[in-house]
Amino acid sequence: MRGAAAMAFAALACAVPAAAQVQGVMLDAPAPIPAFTLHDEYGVPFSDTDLTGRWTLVMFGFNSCPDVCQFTLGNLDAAVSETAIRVRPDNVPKVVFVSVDPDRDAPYVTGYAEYFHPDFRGVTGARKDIDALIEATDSFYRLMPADAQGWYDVQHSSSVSVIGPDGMLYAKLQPPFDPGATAEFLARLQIEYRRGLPK
Amino acid sequence: MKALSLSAILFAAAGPALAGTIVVTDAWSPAAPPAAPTHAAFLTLTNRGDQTRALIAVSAAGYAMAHMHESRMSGGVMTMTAVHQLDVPSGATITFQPGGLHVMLMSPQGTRKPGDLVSLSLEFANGETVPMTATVRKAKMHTAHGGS
Repeated sequence: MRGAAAMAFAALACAVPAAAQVQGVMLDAPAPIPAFTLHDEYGVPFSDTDLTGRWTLVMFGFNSCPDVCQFTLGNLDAAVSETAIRVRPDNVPKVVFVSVDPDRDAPYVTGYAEYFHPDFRGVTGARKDIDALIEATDSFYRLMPADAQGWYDVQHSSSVSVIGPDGMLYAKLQPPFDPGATAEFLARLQIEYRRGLPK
Repeated sequence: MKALSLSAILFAAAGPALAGTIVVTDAWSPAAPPAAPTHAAFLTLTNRGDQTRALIAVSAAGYAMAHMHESRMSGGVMTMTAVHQLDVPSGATITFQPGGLHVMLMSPQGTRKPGDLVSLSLEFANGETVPMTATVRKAKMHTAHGGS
């Protein structure tokens, strides 16, 4: 019986990494990002115009997320390093952490993101601007009811949006953000992008 | 009579050993941004006793509060849910790990760096308290494929 359980576990252990190879999904057609303006903790604006000229990875989260957000940012750091081996320096994506919890995070959001890499940007802003970006990237978040101590949790999409140099949404990265596989996906996406550019 | 009192003394002395039916290993807390209002702690919990133990609370020195939480992904949405009671059956091992069960340490009262120790206390429904320390260290990010 124990042997059978061990076998089942072994099969599962093999199956999981195989499934985990799916690190991203390319959109059938790129989706536009509407005008928005967010700010970092120093008041420096970050808007839709900052999404052009370079590849950008946009992640939604909140600072009080001790587990998944921090591991995602750490994995994105590793994934960007891996991507840098595979693509031209000006095609290495920037990473932007957008906090969907501005009430708690506005004073700290930039330092939070920079902890994972000094070039990561951390921004947040008015609800309408956050929502514009959330909607355009087909993402989701929800502030949960506060408990007796005033603590509330935030549910949010786990995927990371990939914005092309033309400022359009091209793909979504999915957990677990394995660095090597994510870098492979991004490098392939960039090749597809160049193929699709008007000649 | 003498033997009885001796066994009573032995029993008292064995207090920590009885608590040792719950064994905690690999307790650690990922180094986090200075601005992070919450930290996480992970650990492996084994019940070597012959009865189910219910973990009902966690407290942590240097934090306003500690809660058990579970991160879950469903339909592409990350959620955290509070876990109010965690039953650890006899012989079972439960692992708190990134992306799953974690101890959420709220409102740190100071800064921490890798190598620092966080004192935690696990409280069980039978009144037993298991003290432990978690080591702060940088998270290893290649969680999915072991970096291969």
